[in-house]
Order: sequence, then C-alpha cells, then structure tokens
Amino acid sequence: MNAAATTVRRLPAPVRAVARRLPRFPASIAFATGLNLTLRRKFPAEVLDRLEGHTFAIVVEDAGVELLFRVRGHRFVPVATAAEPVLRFRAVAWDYAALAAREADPDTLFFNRRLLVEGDTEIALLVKNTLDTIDIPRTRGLLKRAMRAVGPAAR
Amino acid sequence: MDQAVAPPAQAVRRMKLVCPAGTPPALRIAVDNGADDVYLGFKDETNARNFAGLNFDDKSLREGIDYAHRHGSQVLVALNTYPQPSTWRKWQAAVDRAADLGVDAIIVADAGLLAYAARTHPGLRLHLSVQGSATSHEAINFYHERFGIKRAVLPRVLSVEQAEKAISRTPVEIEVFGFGSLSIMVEGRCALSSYATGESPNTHGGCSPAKAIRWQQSPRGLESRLGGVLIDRFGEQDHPGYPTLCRGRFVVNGDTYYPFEEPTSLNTLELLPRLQAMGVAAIKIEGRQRSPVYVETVTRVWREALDDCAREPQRFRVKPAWQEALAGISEGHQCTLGAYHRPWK
Repeated sequence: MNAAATTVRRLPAPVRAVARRLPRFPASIAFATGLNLTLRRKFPAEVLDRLEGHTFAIVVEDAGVELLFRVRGHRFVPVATAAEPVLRFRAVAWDYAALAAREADPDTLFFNRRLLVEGDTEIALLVKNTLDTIDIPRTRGLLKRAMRAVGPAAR
Repeated sequence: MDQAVAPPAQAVRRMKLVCPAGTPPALRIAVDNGADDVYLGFKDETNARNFAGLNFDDKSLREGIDYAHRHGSQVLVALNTYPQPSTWRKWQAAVDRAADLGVDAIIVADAGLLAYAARTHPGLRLHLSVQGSATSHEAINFYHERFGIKRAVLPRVLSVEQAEKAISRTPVEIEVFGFGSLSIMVEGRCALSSYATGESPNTHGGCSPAKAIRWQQSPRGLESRLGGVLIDRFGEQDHPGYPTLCRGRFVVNGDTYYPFEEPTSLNTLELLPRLQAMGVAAIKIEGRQRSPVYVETVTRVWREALDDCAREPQRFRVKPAWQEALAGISEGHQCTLGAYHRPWK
C-alpha cells in the first residue's frame, strides 16, 4: 500500500506522444462523462450545491493534457477554456489513478510535491474529504487491476 | 491527592490502539486493521478537526458504531472544543446526540461540558481530551474526582519521566500520542493561529481554517499563506507541510529558519516497551483529517507493533518495514520523539 508515494511512474513515451496530439475538448468531454457515471450520484447534494458554477482543471502532466469541467445543475459539464478555475490540480496520470483507486494518500503526494493544488483551499478540502467518503468498490477494483497490468510499463 | 496510587490493573495489559476516522471508510478501515478504539467528530465546530466535508452526521455515526461494535471495536466522539456562552446549547446538544446514538465514550475538554455530561448522562464514559491540557496528576485527579473521567489524553509537551510520574499517581487510564503530526504548543491553550486568522482553534475547531489558507506557485517557490501571512516558501527539493504558524519559517534577526518547530511527525514506536511498562493504557494516532489510505497504513503498522510489544516486550524491536511505511506518510518526512525525549523534568 502507498507504493505510489515512493516511485514516480510516468506514461510510456509512445503513450505520451499520442496523448499530446489528442484534441483537448474531447478529452474533457470523456472525463466529465466518466465523472457523471461514477461519482455524480455519490456526491451529497449539499456538496454539489457548494461546487455549483465553479470550474475545475485537472492537469495530467505526463500526458500534457488539461481536463476542464464545471459543475452545473448538479452535473459535471465539460468546458473548452477557463481563465481562472477555482481549483487546478497537477499530477501525473499514474498518481491520479492511484488516488482514485485508494492506493495513494493525497497528503503524502502533496508533501512529496507530486500533487500540486492551486486555488481555493476550502473547496479543495471539501472535494478531497468528499471523495474520501465515497465507496465505489467495483470501479476501484477495476482501476487496481488495470494499474497492476500496466504498472511495469509505467516508469 | 499527592500520594502514589498503584497503577491501574490495565497497566499490565496490552495497550489499546486508538485510531482516527474523518470519514466512514476510514472508520471501517481502522476497525478492519485492528483498532481497539476509533475516535471521530460531528460535522461542526464541536470538535477540533472541523474541516469541510469531514466528519460524521447522525446516520453515518449510527452505522459506524454498528460496524465497530460488530467487529469488537469501540467508538469515541471528540467534543473537544470550548463552547462559548452564545454557543453552549450546541455543545450540550452534541453531548446528548452522542449519548443517544450509543457511543462508547466522549472526549471532552471543557469543564462545564464535562459537568453537564456527568450530570445528564451518568452512564456515559468520559475521557479528558488533550485539549483539556491536563499535564499533571493533580489536574487529572481533579477531573476524575469532579466528573468521573475514566481516561485522560496527555498533551504532547511532556517528557517520558513526566508522563510516568503522572501515570503512577492517578487511577485514571492514561492515553498518549504515538504517531502523527506534532503540536508543540500546550493544546487547548494555544491561540497562535488566531493572530493570523481571527479564529481560535479552541472555539472554531481548526488550527488553520481552510478559508484562511492560500497555496500559490510563485517565481520564488511554492508559497503557503495563512490569513495573508507568508508561512513558508518551498523550493523544488523542499517538502511542504501543513500551513500552521507554529511550523512556519520566518525571518528572525536576519536569519530565516523555523523558530518554533520544523514540519515533522511524532513517532514513538521505539518507546513502546517503556510506555507499556509505565502503565500507559492507550496509544493515540493523530490524523482525522487524513485519508483512508493513511489510516490503513498507520493502523496496520501500530497493531502489529503493539501486539509484538505485548507478547515479548524485552525482545521488542522496531522493524525497518514499519518505519519505512510510517515515514512514507509522515508530514515533513521527518520523525521525532517530540517532547518525550526532552531532558526537562
């Protein structure tokens, strides 16, 4: 457990090269769709109320991708551009996956400068703590299996 | 009150492991990995980890108590901040809620709240919070005589010798901190952060309230600010810690350094045989604000260590794998024995 804290694993070079060429907005659409399918119904209504209207940026550093979405009407909606997101997260794809799979501790990644968070700290804590309350065992199980399968290639 | 009291019977038994839970998954993980007690708080300023999205409502607490009891663990509710005259009823209601939900004990700092709990819920077990700042056997015995507290949590400012002296002169179970972020101040009395935030941690439930914190990447490094005050600036190789004033890096007489304490974590694994021999009843793990992954790691390591120590204290050795696991989740990537190793008496 928490092996993600010790070794930085980056996407293999060919994957990085392809990812950097992909159009950005479709990636945000796919990401927002995934959020709606896995997390939207798990988020308490009062949390979604608090996030309403705010734009978030997820920067996947090794893929060279910035995923942008906004919370609107209790849904995650992709956006093409955002001048000033309320929060911007920066990490590599492996660390995001490890966080989602509950294989890594977010504070540890933060202490290690592997998870950077810029913006409204109160909303960041709300998001982090809400994600910690959410049980999605099937999704996490799939993620863990996927990480084990691709782990050797992610160096 | 000053004469020696024989150590309580539980002094010779194995020490209990008291683990933090900020969320229901953390509670279940603590229980699954061998916590004897799990401590938590309500979703408001009645506890000292009042952070957005953290803590328990009545439904999740009821389910958590049920889960813990089915697996042989106990649930303790921290009501360890100080009510004010205008907020008294909220704290009073929190005591009633905890009692009605069937918690195994409440952890309280305020004498008025202890008096209310003892009077209104005589069957409810009371623990004195570290926020109560009882640093001597006289203070602990006062709370015992007046309110019938069964356990007291010692502040992290005592040396081993001081803790041993307190334990030997009180019939109250003593709980000490074993691992986690370190407070160097006298807990429950420290108002340092209020100078930057306008809020006291002892009444609002947060040492560095999130709304006052700002992280910003500047050309000179990653900066953390609390209420606009620059707490620290981290270079590429630095490991940031939680932005609290007592762990800030400041310019003092032209030198830039940590005048109070560097970001660091307490880790007392190597002291376990001594703590057990002294009659410590329970070891507390800090970190209700941390993730289920942290709770899993720290509970698993400390369960194994406490079991090893109880089995053969003379042969107890700290395993490198334990230290490695704990160092990986520690704030500041440094561990210390804190005040336990201080020479002061």
